[in-house]
Amino acid sequence: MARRFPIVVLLCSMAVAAFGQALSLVTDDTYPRSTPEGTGFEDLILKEAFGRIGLSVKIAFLPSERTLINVNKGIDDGMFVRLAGVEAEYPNLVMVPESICEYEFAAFGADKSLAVDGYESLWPYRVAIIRGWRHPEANLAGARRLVRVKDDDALFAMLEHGRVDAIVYESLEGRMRIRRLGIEGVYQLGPPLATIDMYLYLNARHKDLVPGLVSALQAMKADGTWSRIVDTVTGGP
Amino acid sequence: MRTGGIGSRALRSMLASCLALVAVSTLAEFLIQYRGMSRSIAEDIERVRLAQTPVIESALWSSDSEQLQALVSGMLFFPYISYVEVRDLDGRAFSAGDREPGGSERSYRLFYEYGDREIDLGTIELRTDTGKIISDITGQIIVSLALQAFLLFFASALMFALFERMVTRHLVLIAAHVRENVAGSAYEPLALDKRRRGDEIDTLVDAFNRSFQGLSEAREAERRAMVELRRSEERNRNLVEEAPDAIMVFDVDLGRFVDCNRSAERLLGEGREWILGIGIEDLYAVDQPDGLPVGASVAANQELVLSGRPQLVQRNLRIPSGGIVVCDVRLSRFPSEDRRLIRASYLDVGDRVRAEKAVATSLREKEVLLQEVYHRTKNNMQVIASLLDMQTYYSDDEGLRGVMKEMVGRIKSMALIHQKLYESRDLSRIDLKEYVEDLVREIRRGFLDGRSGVEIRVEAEEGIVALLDTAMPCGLVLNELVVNCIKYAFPGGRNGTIAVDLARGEAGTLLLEVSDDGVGLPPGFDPERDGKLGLKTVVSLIEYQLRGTIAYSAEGGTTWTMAIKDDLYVARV
Repeated sequence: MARRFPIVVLLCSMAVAAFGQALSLVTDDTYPRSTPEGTGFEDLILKEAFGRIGLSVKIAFLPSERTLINVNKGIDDGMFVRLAGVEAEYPNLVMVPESICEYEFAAFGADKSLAVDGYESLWPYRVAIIRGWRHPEANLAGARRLVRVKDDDALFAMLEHGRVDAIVYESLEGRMRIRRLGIEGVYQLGPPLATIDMYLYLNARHKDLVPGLVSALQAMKADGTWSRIVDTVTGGP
Repeated sequence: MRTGGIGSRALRSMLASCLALVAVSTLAEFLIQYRGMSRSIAEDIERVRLAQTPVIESALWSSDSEQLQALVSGMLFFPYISYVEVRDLDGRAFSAGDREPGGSERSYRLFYEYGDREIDLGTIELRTDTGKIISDITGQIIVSLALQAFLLFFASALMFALFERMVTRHLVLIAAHVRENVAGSAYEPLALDKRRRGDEIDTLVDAFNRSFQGLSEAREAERRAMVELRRSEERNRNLVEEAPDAIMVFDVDLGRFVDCNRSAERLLGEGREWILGIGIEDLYAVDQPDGLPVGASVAANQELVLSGRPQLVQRNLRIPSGGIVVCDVRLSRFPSEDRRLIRASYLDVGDRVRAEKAVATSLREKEVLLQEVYHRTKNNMQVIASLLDMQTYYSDDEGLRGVMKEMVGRIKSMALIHQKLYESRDLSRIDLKEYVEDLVREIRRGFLDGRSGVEIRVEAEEGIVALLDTAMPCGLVLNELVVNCIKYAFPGGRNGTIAVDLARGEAGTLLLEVSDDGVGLPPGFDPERDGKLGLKTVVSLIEYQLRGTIAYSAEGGTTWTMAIKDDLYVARV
C-alpha cells in the first residue's frame, strides 16, 4: 500500500491537472508569511509541497473569516494557515495534518509598562484582535472590551490611534511589520501568549490530496527544504 | 351682517364653492403628492440601495458582523425605510427596524466579485413605511388646507366687507329711499354718501332719480287729470242729468235698466229706484209705431246696437200714471268691459208728431189745391184755345186763321205745362223730355195733319226737369220754332225732317236745338229786323227772360241753337 501511494497521488494530481486549473489557496497571513507576490515563506512552502505532488497553486489574500467561508463553500480550494479543529465549525473543510508553521500569538502595545503574561493578563484592558482568529478570541472572551477588526491594517490602526490598549497578533508578523513599515512607539509586550501549530485546510472535495501533501511536507521538513525557505524569507534562524 | 343680504349669501356661496374647490384640489394634490412621493421614495431607496449595497457586500464578504449591523442600522436613518434585513447564505440575519405588516417590501440579491466570478452572498430586504408616507402627506395637506382655508376665509371676508361697503349699504339706502318716496308726490333726489365715480351704483341711482322724478311728475299729472276728470265727470253727469232727453242704460243680460237721469224720472213720473227695477216690457206699449211685436223688434235692435250700429227708432212708452208717450229713441252701445249695456235716449216727440201730422195734412190739402189750380188753369187755357179754334173755324180770312192757329198752339203749349204740373208729384217741376215729346206731338197734330212728307224727330236726354218759370218759356220757344219750320222750311209740299234736341250742357246749362233740312233762311235774314212777332218773341224769351243765348245757322236748312240756365229760378212751391 505504501509503495502504491505515490502512484495514487500522481494519478490524483494528474486528474486535477487535467482540468488545467491551479488550485486556489487563500490566506489572511501577511509578510513574511504570505505576500501578494507569493513570496512569503508559507507561500513558498505550499508551492513546494503542492509542486511535489504535481500541482500548482495560486494564492490570494482574503479576510480571515472569508477564507474559511470560501473554502468551506468550495469557492476556493484551500486555505492557510489555521488552528487544528476548524473543521468542526466548517464541515466541508479537511485539515492536512502536518503543520505548516507555528503561530506565536503575542500582545503589542504602545505602553511598555503593561505587564503581559498570558491572555488573562490582558483582560483588564481594551484589546483588539482580527476577526476570525479563533484562538485569541476564545481566550480573550473575558476582556474588558474586545474589539474585532477586519485585518491587520485595521488592527494596527486601532493601536496607533489609541483606541485600544493592546492588540493580539502573530509575533513574527508583528515584529516584521513594525520593522518594515517603521512604526514607532509600538512594541511587543511580554513573551508570546501562546504558540500553536498551524495547518493547511482543503475543501472536502480535495481530501484525496491530503496524504500526498502530508508526505510532501514531512519530506520537506526532513530534507531541510522547510527550514531553508523560512530562513531565506525571515533572514535566518 | 345682514343674513338675508346679497353679501352674506354671496359670502356663503363663495365659501361653499371655494371649500369644494379646495377639497377637490386637496384630493388631487394628495394623489399627486402621494404618487410623486412614492416615486421619489422608490428612487431614493434605489439610490440608497445602490450606495449601500457595495459596502454591505464588502462587510458581508469580510464577515464583519459589527460593520454589517451598523450599516443595516444606519439605513434606517434614510426616510421611510422602516426595516432592513441582510441575510447571508448560512441564514445569519442582520436586521434593524420594525417589521410591521403593511408597507412595501423589496428584496435584492447581494454579490461579491471574486476574480472572474460573482459570489452570491445573500439578500437584503428593504421595507418602506407606507403609513408614514400617507401620514406625512396628510400632514402637509392639512397644513396646506389650513393655509388655503385661512386665505379663503380672509379673501371672502375681505370681499364681503368690500361688497358691503361698495354695494350693499348703497342698495339699502336706495331701498329705504324708494320706500319713503312711494307714497309721496314730490320727489327728493337720492344722493349717496360716496364719491361719484360713474359706476353701476351711480347709474342705478341716476336711473332711480330719473324714474322717480318722472313718476312724480306723472303722478302729479295724474292727480291733475283725476281732478279734471272728476270735474269733467261732474259736468258730464250734470249734462246727462239736465239733458232734455230721458237717458236710460239697459243691461241686456240682467234684462233691466241699470241707470237713468232726472229727465227719465220726469218723463216716466217715477223715481230712480222704480226705473232701475223695470225692463223693456214694463216700459213699452204693446202697439208700436213700426207695427212690429215689441219683443222681436227690441231683440233685433239690441243685436244691431251691440254690434256697433246705433239705431234711431220711435217707441210708444207706457207711462205708469197712465197714457202713452211717443218718443224718438236713440240706441247706442254703452261702453263696458264686462257687461252688455245699451244707452237709450228718449225724446218726447208727441207734440212734434202731432205737428208733423198737421203739416202733412195741410201740405196735402195745398197740393190738392195747387193741382186743382193747375188743372183749372190748363182747362181754362184749353177752353181759350178751343174758343180761338172755333173762331178760326168760322173765319174766312186765311191770315187771321193762321194767326189764330199760332195763338192756339201757343196757348196749348202753356196748357200742356200746367197739365204736366198737376200730373207731377212735385207740382213745381216737370220732366222736360216728356213735355217736349208731348208738345211736339200736339204740334204735329195741329200743323201736320194730313202732311206725311215732314217728319219731326225728338232727341231728349232723360231726367232733365225744369221749374215752371223755365219750362214755360222753353215751351213757347220750341212751339214757335217748330211751327216756323213747318210753315217755311218745306214750301211746295217739300219733304223734310225737323229735329228737336234737348241735352245738358256744361255748368248747369240746358242746350236746346231746333233744326230742319229745308230751304233755309233768305240771304241777309236778321231775326230782330226781318222776323215776325213769333221769332222776336223767341229771341226775347231766350235772351231776356231766360238770360240765355240764341244762334242760328242757315247752311243745309236752318238750325237754331239755344243755351239757357236751368238754375235761374228757385222753386216757389
